[in-house]
Amino acid sequence: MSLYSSLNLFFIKLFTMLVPRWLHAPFALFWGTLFYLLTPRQRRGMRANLRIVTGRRQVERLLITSYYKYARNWCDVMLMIQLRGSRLQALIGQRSSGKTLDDALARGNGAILVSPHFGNWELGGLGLADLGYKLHVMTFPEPDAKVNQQREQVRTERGIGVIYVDRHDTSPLAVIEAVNALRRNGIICLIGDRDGSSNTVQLDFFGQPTDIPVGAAYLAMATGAPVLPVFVPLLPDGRYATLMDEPIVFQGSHGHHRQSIKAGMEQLVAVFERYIRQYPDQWYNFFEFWADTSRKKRIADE
Amino acid sequence: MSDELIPKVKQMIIDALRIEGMSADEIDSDAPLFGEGLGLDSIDALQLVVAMEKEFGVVVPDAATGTKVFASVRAMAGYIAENGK
Repeated sequence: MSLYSSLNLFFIKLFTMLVPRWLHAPFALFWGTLFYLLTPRQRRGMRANLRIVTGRRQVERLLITSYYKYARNWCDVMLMIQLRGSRLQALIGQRSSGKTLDDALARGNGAILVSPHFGNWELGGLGLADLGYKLHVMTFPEPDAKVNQQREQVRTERGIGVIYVDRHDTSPLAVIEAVNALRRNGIICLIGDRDGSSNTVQLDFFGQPTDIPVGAAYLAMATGAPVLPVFVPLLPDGRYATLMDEPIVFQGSHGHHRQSIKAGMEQLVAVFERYIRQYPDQWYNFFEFWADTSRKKRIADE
Repeated sequence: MSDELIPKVKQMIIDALRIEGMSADEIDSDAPLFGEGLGLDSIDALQLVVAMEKEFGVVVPDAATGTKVFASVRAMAGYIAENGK
């Protein structure tokens, strides 16, 4: 489901300009169902993921709601980039206390916000920037240069810094700009569930061996910044919750980094599992997340 | 000027990384810091970025600069001498 093209995003944005938000739901149901029917490979992948996450064989209903909520998510992403202040904050119907984040920043080492590909993670960042927090988003460059430019423009207009990471760069210094931002008590936001980088650790995630990126752990150990797991699920009333879990502190000394990374990342992944189990249809991976694991198991069984 | 900084840089490495059982004299000024040389890892590299700013007020702005700066203790001292307060 390649939505990351500037043409698609233009039409979604146009739609959100012409159609009031209270009418988005039926359109999202239509488009979500259409994509569900037209994308068999993505559907199979998502179905396989939901079966592992829920432990159930019958997940079709969840699968359809996942497509529907993803369609709503995209409408809201394109809508909220046009909103500021109270109109933006009105999209948030429930929010965690800001104390966890404020306490972290009071220590002066910055904070690292990590979300899986879950709910409307973009809203979390825009919402915090709108409240005056100094944010930096760590991201891989988008394959579509126009989309990249648009996303960067939206972020920089709101004072959000963008730190691009080369996914093929194996140098430990690839995240140096993020370290410097944390040194200035900034907030780094990143997505931390998919293996897209060269630095990962294999952990048990929903009972499957999974390569999880460790960029957040590196930053935390280098700077002393805590890792705060964050989640922005869509609520039944059509608004979002911005949820922040307890901080995870990575501690380690020279020669013992590997153990500390593993221990901290296990905590993080356990929090991811807890929220994804609660909102399984809002964990958006339209491909077979554990394809390699399944393939390896099949080979082992044979 | 930068040679005078070498003992301080070595001590900073030991203190910042909390390397136990090693003295500044044991660190070769020209050996690579990572891999075969001093054997530092990725986290150590990033901790040195933080330590250099705390100790000497010197910022390593990006990965390309970092690669040159962290080539050896002598390279670090040279960078601090050029960019320090």
